[in-house]
Amino acid sequence: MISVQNLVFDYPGLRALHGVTFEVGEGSITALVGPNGAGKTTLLRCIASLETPVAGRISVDGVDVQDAPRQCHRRMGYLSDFFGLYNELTVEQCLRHRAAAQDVPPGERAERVSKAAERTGLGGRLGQKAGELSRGLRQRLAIAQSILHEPRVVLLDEPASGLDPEARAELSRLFLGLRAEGMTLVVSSHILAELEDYSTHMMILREGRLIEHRRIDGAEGAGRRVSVVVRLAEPSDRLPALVEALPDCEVISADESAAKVMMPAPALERHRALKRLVDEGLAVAAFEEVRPDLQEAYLAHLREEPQS
Amino acid sequence: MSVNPELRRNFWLELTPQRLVAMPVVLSLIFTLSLLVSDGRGADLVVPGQLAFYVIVLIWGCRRAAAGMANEVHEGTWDWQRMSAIGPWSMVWGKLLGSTSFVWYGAAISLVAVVVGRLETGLPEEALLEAAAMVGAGLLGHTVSLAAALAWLRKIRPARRVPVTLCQVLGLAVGYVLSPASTVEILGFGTWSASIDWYGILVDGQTFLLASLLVFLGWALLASHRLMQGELQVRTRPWAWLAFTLFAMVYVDGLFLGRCARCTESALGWIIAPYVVAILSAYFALLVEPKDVVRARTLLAALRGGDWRRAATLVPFWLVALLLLLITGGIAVILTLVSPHSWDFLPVLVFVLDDRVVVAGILAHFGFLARDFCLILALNFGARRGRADMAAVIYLAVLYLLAPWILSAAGFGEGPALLLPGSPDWPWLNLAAAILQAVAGFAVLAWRWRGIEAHFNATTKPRAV
Repeated sequence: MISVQNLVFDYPGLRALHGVTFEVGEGSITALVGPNGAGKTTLLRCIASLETPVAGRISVDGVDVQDAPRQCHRRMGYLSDFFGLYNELTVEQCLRHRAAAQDVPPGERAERVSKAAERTGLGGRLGQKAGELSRGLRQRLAIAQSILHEPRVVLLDEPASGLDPEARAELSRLFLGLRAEGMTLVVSSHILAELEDYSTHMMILREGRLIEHRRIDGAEGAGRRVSVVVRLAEPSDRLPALVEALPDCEVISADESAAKVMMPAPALERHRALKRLVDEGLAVAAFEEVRPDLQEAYLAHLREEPQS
Repeated sequence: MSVNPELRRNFWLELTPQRLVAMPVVLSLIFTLSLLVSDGRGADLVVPGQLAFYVIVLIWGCRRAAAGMANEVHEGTWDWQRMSAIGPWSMVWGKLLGSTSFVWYGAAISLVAVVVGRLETGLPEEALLEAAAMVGAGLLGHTVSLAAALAWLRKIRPARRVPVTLCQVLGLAVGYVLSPASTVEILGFGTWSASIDWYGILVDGQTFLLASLLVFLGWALLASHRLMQGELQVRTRPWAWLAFTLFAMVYVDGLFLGRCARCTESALGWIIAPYVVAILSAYFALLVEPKDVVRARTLLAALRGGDWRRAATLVPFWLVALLLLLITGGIAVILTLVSPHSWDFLPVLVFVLDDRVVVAGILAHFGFLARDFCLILALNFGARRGRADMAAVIYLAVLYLLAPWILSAAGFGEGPALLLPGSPDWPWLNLAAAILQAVAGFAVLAWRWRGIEAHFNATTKPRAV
């Protein structure tokens, strides 16, 4: 759905993106993560055709964003990190303007406005001025504006900023709902725990370079590995050594009472590992697969990647 | 039919019920007062009507036209608009008429007062002609202010602060000069009642002004459209600037030749005004356009890679104007060399009749021009590019005004020849100084460029694996 080839973007005296190349599949939710200044916002703005790269090609839904930016904008929604709203307009006027500006057919506008408002929990605030909304509600209105025209691709730069925990949970549900409808989302955020709830892929940018892009929702084929947590009913100082000795396993962390291990996904492989620990006399109380911890994976990558 | 979304959004903001009631009430009170303190005739409405119109349309309207654009940027809503499906032309006219809609509401009421007053004393067609010219001047002023805001936005990325007052003043100045109220005369053109000599043809002043207004309004709209295309990431080539400069050459030449009958006797006489227009166009474009290193590097990379399509979209406007300047200047040099005493038609230049002196003067001008352009570009390729153009203007003022003045005052008669183009007394010193300074300018620019490239290459070298 999104194809980026050898993307290079320069600021005077600084290269912000160094030949970034990747593909984003249809119906995926990609978490775009990286330290401050890694180039996340620049990358999103290039995909949104708000900035012109020095070199490289970007296409969205098969349309080259540099050759036909307006055509791409019809298929895209973008929420900027530092967005603004028309404070003197009501929520309904903001959404009606957005519908018209995105060339939604006149007959469908009222329905789209009410659907976007309902999805973002603004249904009861249509008559309220945007300038009178709280920070969280402004964020919701901005999200409503970016998805109102039901784009094929939605780019969101820090969408959860300013939202309370309940609203963040709603946002996760909203994103999963959008994905279920076939939309492709790229979400940049610093709150990795929240990205974990809905992301299917993770992309790590560092110093303008793509250092990791992989699937994280566990739906990979043969050779897939999973993260397993082992907990003991009674602590044993032999646990770290025993998990270290498990075949084809990689210990993430281990102490006397618990260990976290990456191991082959097939059930039989996991059964053998469990049996071995039990046979060694450990009082295994829990042996469960856990979703990959995005934050952990991210930090592990940052540790592995040498600083330039 | 679907209403322009930008126009409708502005109507929501501008045309509130309270404002729609307040404007006619305030204007009615002003006109009633003017009738009460005068003879109470309809004709007494003309002056207050004109005054109200110009204050509302030119002063307030130009501000609204620029602020409509600037506010979007300041309040962070511009990215939404850039991401919309609204086309560049719809965005331009939606903003132009939308952000000034309340202004035109008040202007229409004032215009009715002017026309009613005029009809009492003059002919209906004259009243309508004046009304049309007033509306045209207002539209022109607003379009210039909008174009100025867009040009500034393009220039200052990513700082993105638009100086609304500067854009307002530019629109106001252009709108006023071409309005029926203007008293500013440029080359015999500019006042409502005077007749105009254009290429020796005597044209009625009102007709000429109205025609000029329409043509310049067209150019201003084209400028806004092209700049808006840039904002909306639509690629453009610099043909519009080329076309405008060529038009301005022809238009100004007509006014110049209308004031200088003897100039038409020589082919050189026809080239003077176009040469001056090309100079102004080149300096204007150079100071107004963005001149960052990234753009220059991208252009060079496109040229080296033979990507002519991309290179054409990156060619700066000033380069186009510079080309026209070299062509007109080159023609002047050739004509001077092939026909002896070719400048005799200009009585004011009797003292420089030696053709070699004229040629030296033109070539010296090229040299000083190269010095100036290198200076402006070198400053813009520096670390503090946000202030570069203002610094360049100050340095040019020193080079062209202050330093020659000081040298003359200090008794160095040949001093100005070292810094200014055209020195009848020391033509060869003038030419040598120009060449030296041009070479120095190129050296400074090359040194700055190499420094930037070295720094950039150091920061972008591939990382060790």
